[in-house]
Amino acid sequence: MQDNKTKIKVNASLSNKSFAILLIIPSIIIIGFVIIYPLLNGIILSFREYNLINPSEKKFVFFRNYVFLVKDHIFWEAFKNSIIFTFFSIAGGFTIGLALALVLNEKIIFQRFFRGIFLTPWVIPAVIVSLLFLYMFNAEVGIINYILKKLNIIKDFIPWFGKPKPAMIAVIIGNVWNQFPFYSLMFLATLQSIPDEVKEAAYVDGANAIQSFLHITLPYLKNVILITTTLMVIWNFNNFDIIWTTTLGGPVNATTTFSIYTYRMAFRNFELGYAATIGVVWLIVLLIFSYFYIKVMEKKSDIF
Amino acid sequence: MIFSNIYRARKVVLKIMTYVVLVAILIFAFFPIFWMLSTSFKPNHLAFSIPPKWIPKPFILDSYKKQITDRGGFVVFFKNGVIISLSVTILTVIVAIFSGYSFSRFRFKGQKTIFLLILATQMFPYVLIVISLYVMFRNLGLLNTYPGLILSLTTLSLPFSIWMMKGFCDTVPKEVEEAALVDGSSKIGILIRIVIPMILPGMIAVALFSFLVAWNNLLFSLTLSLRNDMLTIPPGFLMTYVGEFQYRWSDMCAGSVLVSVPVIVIFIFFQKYLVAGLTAGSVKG
Repeated sequence: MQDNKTKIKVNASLSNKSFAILLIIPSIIIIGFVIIYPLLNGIILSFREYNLINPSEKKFVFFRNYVFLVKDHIFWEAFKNSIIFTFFSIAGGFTIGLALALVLNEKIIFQRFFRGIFLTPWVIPAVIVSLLFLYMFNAEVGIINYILKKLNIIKDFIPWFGKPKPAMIAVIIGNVWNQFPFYSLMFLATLQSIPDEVKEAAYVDGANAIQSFLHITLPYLKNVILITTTLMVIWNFNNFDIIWTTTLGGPVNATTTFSIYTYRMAFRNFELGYAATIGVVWLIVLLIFSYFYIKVMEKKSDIF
Repeated sequence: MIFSNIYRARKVVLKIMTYVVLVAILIFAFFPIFWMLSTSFKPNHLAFSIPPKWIPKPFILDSYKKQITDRGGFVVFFKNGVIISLSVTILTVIVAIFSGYSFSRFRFKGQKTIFLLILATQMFPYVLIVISLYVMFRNLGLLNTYPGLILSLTTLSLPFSIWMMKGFCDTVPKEVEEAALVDGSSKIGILIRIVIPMILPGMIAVALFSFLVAWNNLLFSLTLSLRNDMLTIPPGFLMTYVGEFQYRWSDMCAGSVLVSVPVIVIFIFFQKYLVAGLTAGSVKG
């Protein structure tokens, strides 16, 4: 009895506001400790000369790293490669993902089965995807070269990971394979939410497949397309696993993106200061994008 | 009459197109998996044969046996992966429930800013973060430790998980809680006894998502654990199979199958919850 009374008292004294704040404290501590604080530290680091081999010398160099960066042609190449990698990964993943979602939304045989298994490429770790594609795209024993030659598409075996352009193509194909089910997942859920009456109305009006796709399906998908694509721009700009496992950014920087260049500068060249500088510029690029992402999320999911 | 014929013809064409697309995508999606399975049952020298052997003959389990007895490699990576990913899952689910519920139910000044800041963190360049994390963890002695890896991997999925959880909490009717409050239940009691049972699907969605992120991540584990016995599966596989002279494709494929199958089965089984979670916000609009 006594216990119960104090409990109620505690309840009353704990206002909604304090309770709400208390609940988010664990998140704030974790995110603050592992994301925010290291991020701020990283920004400070970008103004220093800090080499891992000689960590006692932490010279403050103001904007010297940034000046150097502007003149660093590998940085600009990494910028270009990030955009190429992201653009084609999304173009491929989006197209295949949308096509699959539309197909799985139709009445097809084994519909339940296909809907069950289509996520498979997405749940396989990117490192394993990379190793598998490294094997399949191998110049001498790879199955891809063999099939392409059998089909008379190529005359000689292509050294996929040995030449700049083929390397980028192979990496993007592996990435698309890993990611397209995610688009399908998002799109299919939305397609299923389109009311039957709407589809029937179009049917009665005699709309053909393309018309009903453009005028009925697409408007329904607009929000989810925006959210998914924005998310994918950010994820692909951050993509590290696939490129690092297959090419380490090579041959001769042909697949070096921001994430690869930053990582290599930090953990191969041990120039933490300069690596942080690359990271900060990359952050600014992402922030500009994040601004739009949040705008979209805010509007479309009516958070508050 | 003619009109309906055209109509029917159109439908047939559409049906054929649907199946053509389906078959093409299925080949694209499952050929690599077929090849992985096929290779995993071959002796290694046949993994190099041109023309390729489509069906493994002889059909052997040697590579699988090698993996599950590799106590200095595969077994360690798998064990670390399970321990770390499960801890991340539990931590993420608990923390995300608290935050998601708070963001869903209560209003206070600065709340929106905090929520957007949390969402924004998933867009920060992880390599930049991992650089300072490395320095920080080295000073704190958190390199090569489970707590260090668990904490850092949790933040990768936490923002999205909070967002999902908030979406699920939004679907719980307020009246249920108000009734309980009148009955004299404490606020935390309401959350645990009334809200949590109602958002179980959301918890499954968050659990799946955070497990997958931790299980698959390379960057954090590669950077923050340097000792071989602390590696998870992605860095473990990277160290084992990349850059050797003697490629062991059969072993690699067998290991890949062992790593992927449990996750694939779990996902097929619980997929609908993940769909509900991932689209909680985006479908509504």
